[in-house]
Amino acid sequence: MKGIKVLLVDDEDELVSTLAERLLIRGIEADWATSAEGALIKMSSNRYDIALLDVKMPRISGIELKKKMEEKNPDMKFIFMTGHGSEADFYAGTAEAGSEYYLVKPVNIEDLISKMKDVITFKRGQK
Amino acid sequence: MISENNSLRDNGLIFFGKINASISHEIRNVLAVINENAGLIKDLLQMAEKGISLDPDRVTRGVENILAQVKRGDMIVGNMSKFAHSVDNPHASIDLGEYAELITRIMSRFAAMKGVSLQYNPISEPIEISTFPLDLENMLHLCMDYAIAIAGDEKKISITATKKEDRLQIHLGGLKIYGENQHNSDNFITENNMLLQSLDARIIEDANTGTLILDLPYKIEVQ
Repeated sequence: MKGIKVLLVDDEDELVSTLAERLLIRGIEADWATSAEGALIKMSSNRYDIALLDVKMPRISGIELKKKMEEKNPDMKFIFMTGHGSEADFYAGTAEAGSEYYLVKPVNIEDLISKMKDVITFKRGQK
Repeated sequence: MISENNSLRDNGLIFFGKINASISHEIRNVLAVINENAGLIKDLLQMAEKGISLDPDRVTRGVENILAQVKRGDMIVGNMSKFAHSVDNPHASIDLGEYAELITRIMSRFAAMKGVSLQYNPISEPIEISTFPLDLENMLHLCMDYAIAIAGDEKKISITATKKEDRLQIHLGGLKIYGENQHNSDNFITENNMLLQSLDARIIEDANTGTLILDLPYKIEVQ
């Protein structure tokens, strides 16, 4: 995971800011934003490899944000997280997000890192 | 009559499910913040065991964040419990202001998702209404949901319960009720006619003040 830069986006600021600290402790460079608008501003001056997006956010959802981020950086990979918890919600969410990389809150940090490794392996395999 | 009752019951169940799903979503957010802060404190303590100096201020901030989330969770569960018990009796005498405030709190997250804030204006004395609590809650939620969709430029909706001669009213102010929204309001009333009839209620629009009014009787007799 060395050299990988992650952007965490969720309207719960204490969630993303603390998660960023914990990733940094594990040697993963992480930045965070509490809105879709804020995330897009950060993308203007930084290049990220992975974005962790909350599905439900005020004004612009994580799904819409993914599309906007892909326009700015087509190489970027995405992992979604959601507060919806049932199995049915999980499958509906993965279909809606167009991603199998999907986590239910509260997120286990080791599961998150494992998913990050998966997306990066997939990304490198594509090239 | 049977199909009308079934439809009202079905709508009530859909509403109840929607609110419960929203509340469980909020609780997961609370748990997620607690999880990260507890996890960070554990990380810091494990680092301290390895000889890296512990930052007491950061640990304190983590603990304070956890306590704040416990308080937030307690409030959410309190709303959930109140909401769940509000349908203990299909027909009851209740405080309209209390119910309007409860639904305002529950709907605040839906509003925030659209960039709108809801403000309930508390009143000094209870306003007793004898009604069908679940239908009333559903109607209040539908009015707020619609108000969020037609919120004015300030994106702030004020909600007030009041007495008006021989009727009771819920005022939702800060709306844009003209142009295309006028047509939408007509549709809103038509779509919810059955529920309005069940409550012996009507919707009044005041385009000049940007207010949607839910007008209710003091008492509905159970047949």
